[in-house]
Amino acid sequence: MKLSNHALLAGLGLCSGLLVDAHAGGGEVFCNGGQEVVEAWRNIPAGGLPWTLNTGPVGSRIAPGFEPISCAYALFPSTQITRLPGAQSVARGYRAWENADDRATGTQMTTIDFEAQPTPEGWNYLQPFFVIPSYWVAFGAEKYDGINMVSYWEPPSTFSGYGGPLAVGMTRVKANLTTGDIEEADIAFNALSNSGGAPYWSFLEENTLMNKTYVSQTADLDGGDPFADPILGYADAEGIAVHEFGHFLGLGHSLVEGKSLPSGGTCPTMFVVGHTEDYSGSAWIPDAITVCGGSATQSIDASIPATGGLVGRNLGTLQTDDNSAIGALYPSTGFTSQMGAISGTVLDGQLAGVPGAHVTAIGVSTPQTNRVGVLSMSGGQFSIEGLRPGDYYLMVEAVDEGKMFIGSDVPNYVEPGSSACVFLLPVFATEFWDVNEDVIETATMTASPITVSAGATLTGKDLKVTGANTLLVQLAGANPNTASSRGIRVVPGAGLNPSIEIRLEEQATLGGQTAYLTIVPERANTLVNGELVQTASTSAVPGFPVTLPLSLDASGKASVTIPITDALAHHAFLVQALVIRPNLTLKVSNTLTVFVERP
Amino acid sequence: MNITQFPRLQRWLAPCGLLLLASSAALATNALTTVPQAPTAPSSRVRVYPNIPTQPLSVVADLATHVVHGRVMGARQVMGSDVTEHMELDFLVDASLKGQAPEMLSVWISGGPNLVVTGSPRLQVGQEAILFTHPMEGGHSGLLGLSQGVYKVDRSSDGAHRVSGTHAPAGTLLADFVQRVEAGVSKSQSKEVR
Repeated sequence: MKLSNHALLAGLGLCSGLLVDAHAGGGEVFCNGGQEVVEAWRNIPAGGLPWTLNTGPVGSRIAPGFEPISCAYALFPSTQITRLPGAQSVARGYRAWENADDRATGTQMTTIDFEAQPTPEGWNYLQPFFVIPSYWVAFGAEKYDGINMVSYWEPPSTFSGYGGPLAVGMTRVKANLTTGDIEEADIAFNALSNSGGAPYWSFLEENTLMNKTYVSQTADLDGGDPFADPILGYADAEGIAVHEFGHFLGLGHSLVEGKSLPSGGTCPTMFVVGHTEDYSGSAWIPDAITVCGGSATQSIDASIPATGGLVGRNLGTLQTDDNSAIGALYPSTGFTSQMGAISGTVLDGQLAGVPGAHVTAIGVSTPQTNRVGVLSMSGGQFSIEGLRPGDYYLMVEAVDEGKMFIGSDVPNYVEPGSSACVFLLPVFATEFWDVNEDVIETATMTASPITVSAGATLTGKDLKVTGANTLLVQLAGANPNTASSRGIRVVPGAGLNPSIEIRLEEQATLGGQTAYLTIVPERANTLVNGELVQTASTSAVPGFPVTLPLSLDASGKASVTIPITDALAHHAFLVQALVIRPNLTLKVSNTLTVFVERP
Repeated sequence: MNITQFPRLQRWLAPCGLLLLASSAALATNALTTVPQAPTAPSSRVRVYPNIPTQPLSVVADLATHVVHGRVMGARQVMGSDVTEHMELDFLVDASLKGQAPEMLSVWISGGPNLVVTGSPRLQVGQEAILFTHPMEGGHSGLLGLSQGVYKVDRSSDGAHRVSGTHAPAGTLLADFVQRVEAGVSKSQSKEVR
């Protein structure tokens, strides 16, 4: 736990409680009446964190076990569950976290340890993981049974309300609302079955007991029995299991997006969007696990190439961000003594803390693979742990909601000066820490390396960002769909003299505050010390960025049109409605990117 | 099908004196209700992480029971146990791109004060959208792939309807998107009768 952060925040009178630095890629944090509470297992028995594989009867519609994940061989005694086909991939899922180590130094990062337990005698198959709400009512099943169960579910309608048949798996984590202690977690895999329970999981396992090698079943992907077409492709059981066990342990989603890096880094296992490995034509990617007997061809959406292949294969190997995150939650001695940390505060132009900013430490020598990210806390504080000794750049960027699962991945924060929990997305230009950090850069960014040493935390590495004296504020609704959002519409222009028109279409109340509209070209194609660190391209746009007072008419609405005078074909703008802090009374707004196209 | 007109919506809204395309604000202010429940102090917070890989639009269209174009007319937060908390949206269907949907769909979106569901989309009252749905028990419709099954439709200054969503970058014309969806649906249906 970050007692230093705890003390700091408590000293500021903002909140109290159990605190850590991380949201994205780290421990989940929830806001509870003025407290920010991290979720983690804190009551792990001496033998390890118990988990149980559901070895329910074949054909059970409610809670099938793991037998049908392969070619339905005899039921093994529950004490040999890890020898069941499919179960080995699950076991690899948690062992990946047990064995999490720094890939460069070999430092073991965590003390987390699992203990497999047999399915209880006479266990009620109705209990483990009920996700169909109406089933809850119909069967009166208990929601929680104290067993951390991994199940394999059919039919796909099990996932009704949670994505339906598109969901390949799901993890449910129950935590104490006051302490954040995780009390139970369950994982369900979607059978993805359509014809007779045929699964479309991909795995390769050696069963020494039966001296057999199991692979997942095959199907004709192109033609033949239409009901045998696994239009979802294949899902890699091990990769999905590693990702789900990350959630099981309390980790949220990571925003470190390796695949957007110039030469293609690797996304963390806990990256927010599941990736599908590419394939072309009938050839699976080289590292794909062999599927039972079949070539694979699939007609894919021509406009969206490189999808429909092996889902989740890349998730099987933990990346630096994953290793650091699990170490921060359950630190080993080696994590504490051999790894380092950087801490500081994200500050705006008025030196107020900026919460919800994504701060990433980027290894100077291996920027593609050595990246660790966190979100700043309510007071703007951040602490990035689990850094192997060496030089790092420190980058802060605004969260792009479009890269998050919309709605629920951005945590709620404690609103400054109150105990209210609000949903915040600060908006500002990407910035790097440098030795002249007091100077806010608007053109070429510079970055100074920070040297991290083993067992030490470099403090005071504050990041000052421009534009963040303004915050986009949305009320935290009980459900994302209840969140308040005022309809700012951005209308792309057309014709020889294009413009963008911004209309505030819902009535707003400024509450006596000064508010602005700002239109900022997206910063990208950015060189830092000569190195390309952002990929998308943009150019300086004459007349932008522009900030205009937000003047409301008598009806509480506003409209403004800004011409675009240069000849470029496309522009991407970030449009913000802003209110000056510290009074976050204006509840706005949508942040939209608009592409202005010339005919 | 004339996708730029909403005859059902116009019929529905006309008595209220509301302009179709400016209706969202007025609707948003009063249509959100919460089903009253006995007050209980929650002791836990439940998070659900559905793992939903991005799939091609043709796959989503293939798996969807209904693909409907319409508008969110009402929303209710329904409480209950922490696994049944959800939002119910009244979705007025103007056109069915796949399946024969009823005029008003009841769309179930999991989540609530004690249930955080990663990937649940934001849909506000008044929002025009295209939804890909799958059937749920009780007559509700679930969103296929959660956010992946939602395409918001907005109108630009040139009068064109534009769509945004997983497979529709900002600025995509509604007509183009509908054409892609219908192509995917046709392919799916031809496979079924093969």
